[in-house]
Amino acid sequence: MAEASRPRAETAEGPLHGVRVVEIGQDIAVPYAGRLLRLLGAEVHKVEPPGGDRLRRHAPNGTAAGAGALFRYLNAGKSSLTVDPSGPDGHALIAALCADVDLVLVDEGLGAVAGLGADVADRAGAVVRLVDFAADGPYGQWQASDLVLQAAAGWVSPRGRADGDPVPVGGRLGEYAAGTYIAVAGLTGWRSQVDGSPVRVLVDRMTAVFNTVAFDMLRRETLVELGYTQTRYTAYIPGPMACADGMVAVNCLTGQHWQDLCTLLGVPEYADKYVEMRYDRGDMAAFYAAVRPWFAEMTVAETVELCQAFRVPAAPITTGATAPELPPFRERGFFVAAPDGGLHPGPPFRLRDVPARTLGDAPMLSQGHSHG
Amino acid sequence: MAERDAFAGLRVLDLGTFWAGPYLGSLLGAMGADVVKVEGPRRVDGFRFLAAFPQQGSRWYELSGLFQATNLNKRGLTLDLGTDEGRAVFERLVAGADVVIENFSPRVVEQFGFGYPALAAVNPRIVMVRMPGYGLEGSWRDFVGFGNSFEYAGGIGWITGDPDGPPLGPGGYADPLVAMHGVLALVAALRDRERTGRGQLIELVQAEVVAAMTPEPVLHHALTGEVLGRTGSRSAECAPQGVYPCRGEDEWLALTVRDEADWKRLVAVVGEPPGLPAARLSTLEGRRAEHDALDRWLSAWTRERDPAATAALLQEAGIPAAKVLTPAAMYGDPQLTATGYYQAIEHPLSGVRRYPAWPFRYHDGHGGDPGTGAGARLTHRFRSPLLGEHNEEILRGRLGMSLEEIDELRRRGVISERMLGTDEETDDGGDT
Repeated sequence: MAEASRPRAETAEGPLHGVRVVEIGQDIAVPYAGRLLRLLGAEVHKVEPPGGDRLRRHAPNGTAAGAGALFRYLNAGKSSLTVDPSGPDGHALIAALCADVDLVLVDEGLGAVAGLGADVADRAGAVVRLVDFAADGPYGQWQASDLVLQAAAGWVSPRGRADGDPVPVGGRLGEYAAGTYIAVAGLTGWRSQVDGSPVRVLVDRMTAVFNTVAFDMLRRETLVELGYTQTRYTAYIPGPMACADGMVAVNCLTGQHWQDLCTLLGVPEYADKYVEMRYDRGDMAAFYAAVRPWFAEMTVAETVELCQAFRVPAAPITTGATAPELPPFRERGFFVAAPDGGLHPGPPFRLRDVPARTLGDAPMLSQGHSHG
Repeated sequence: MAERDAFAGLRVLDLGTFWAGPYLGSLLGAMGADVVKVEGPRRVDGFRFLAAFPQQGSRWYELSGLFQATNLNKRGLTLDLGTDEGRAVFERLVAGADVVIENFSPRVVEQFGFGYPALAAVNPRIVMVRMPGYGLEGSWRDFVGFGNSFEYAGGIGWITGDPDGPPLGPGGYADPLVAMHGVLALVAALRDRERTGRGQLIELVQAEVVAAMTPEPVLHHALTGEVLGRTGSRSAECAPQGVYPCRGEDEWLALTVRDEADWKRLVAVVGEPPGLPAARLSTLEGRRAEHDALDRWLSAWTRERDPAATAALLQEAGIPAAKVLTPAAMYGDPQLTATGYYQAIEHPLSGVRRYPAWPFRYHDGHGGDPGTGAGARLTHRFRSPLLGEHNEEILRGRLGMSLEEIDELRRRGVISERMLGTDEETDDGGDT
């Protein structure tokens, strides 16, 4: 009986069951890393400043007691320890907690917890430090903001209207990117620790964000060599199009996509002009004038169905209202009800035999003691 | 240079195409895995056709910097999985492998007969990482898409751009992030396998990964009924904040005033904005109300200035600012070059190119300097393979095939070291 029940118990516990993590950082990056590890079954202890993670008070429904929707999403299923590191024994308490776990993630940049650096985790097996800019470069002492990091990391220049200012990526994707990379640094560091020697990894936000850029420097080398002009390209052609009931993004990545799209739209005269349209040698204004009416008469759903029948990558441009109703999200139950009455995205990965379990609520703000 | 061993001994078959799948394989290879890049001799990786053009010569499909950068740390094998012989060889490779990666539209590998149940029947310990755009099941299962599509479907496109302009998706940044989520799930699956002996199917739905990183619009709408829109460069919490034109073509400066202290610092550098009441500008609310006027004032100040020098000047004063990094300046970026981010690697057909390394730096017993915290960067172990470059090495070494058997596969077009005739050969190149 005991033998037979063991796999079921492991299934319930998650594949990283028994892996113990401390996260020291607020806002998004480190808590998102902690969320990813928690979803895979790790035990995650969150260290917060005396007033709590600043996201606790974040709109739309944040309160001083600490139940902001985004905080809840990022910190569901964790335990929380709130200690004043400047107070007597505070630092020692956190050091003792870190000494006892497998992995410590510490933000020393935008999401730092004042008074706590990676030195608190001297005795931990694997430690990942997140900083804004690496200290050994000329930006080492620079001040950061989300926009400034995006600008320095190549995320701003490729985007915007040709006649306007370049614009950053909306939301806080850079923070999620940094969080994803530190989770990878931490988990691979933990895995490589076979000989028991400590692993210390540094990740800086600028490089983590830059690492997602589509090899723009390599691409440019080739384009310049061959005499093509590279302009702001993020929309891809034709890009966002207005339909009768919303917007659709049609993004041709190859000449084949473009040919098929032109056939579908009834503008065969453009079918062999992919490269010239792509590199500002064609008359995109005339193309748009010719095809806009086609889109305007169709619904988003009809447009996507038709484009996909031609194997042209088209997707609805979802909003906060429409994303949960997108057929693949709805059918797969991706968004789940949150304890505050809202909706949360579900796990971004699914392991067939060890599904992520429900994480429950995020920890309430506690003072001076661990709360699980 | 740092050798990391997180995946040493792991045997990976990488069927990935374009970016998300191959990028996972490349990191596994950098961390010690033995990664075999598998391409069809007629159906090669689509990334070969991006930022590469037929006028580059008969082997133009070897020259894409995007393909090369995404397939470092792998050996190359061609195999036509549409043939019985190709499928038989692949099954034998699966029997001795630990991990299979694929990111096609789901029907592709299933049409070859290589869904997870089939692979698990050959090797119950196999971990298969699949990255469908919209899910292995459901009404959108067979829909095609790329990072850009998934960004729009996942909600980040709608909130990117100017309030009075169109949505502008990030541009494919989702791909490497999907790959990195895959690393986490894979480490977890391997640990599960170490304990239970069983393999695993990992499903990473690309649109779901984007949505998981864009929770704000859905959270906000569910609780308030409001739809978050686009705010351009502006923020509700910092003002002024923006991207301002500088001297030269396509030269810009980004800056953020976080609080009243930053505002005082900015005024100390630039001077008082004329015609605006100082008292009003001492609060976030007041600065937000005057944001258009502040943007005009700052643009007038930046327009004839050098962006890098101005960023340094503002940073010296304690204000977050940076030159907007353009593709033309990426190789020369002082921070990236000083911290050793680029790695020069020689390729037999395109010579020495500088590729992005990884954002992980170690300062422990395996390298780096704990004193400075500078750390030894995780680097690439070796260059990307040519098409089918390691056919013989892999088929002999892994499967013990004879040269005669390998020649027979080549004669039948099951393997090849040159791309075989296909519609994609006439693809006229492109760019992402």
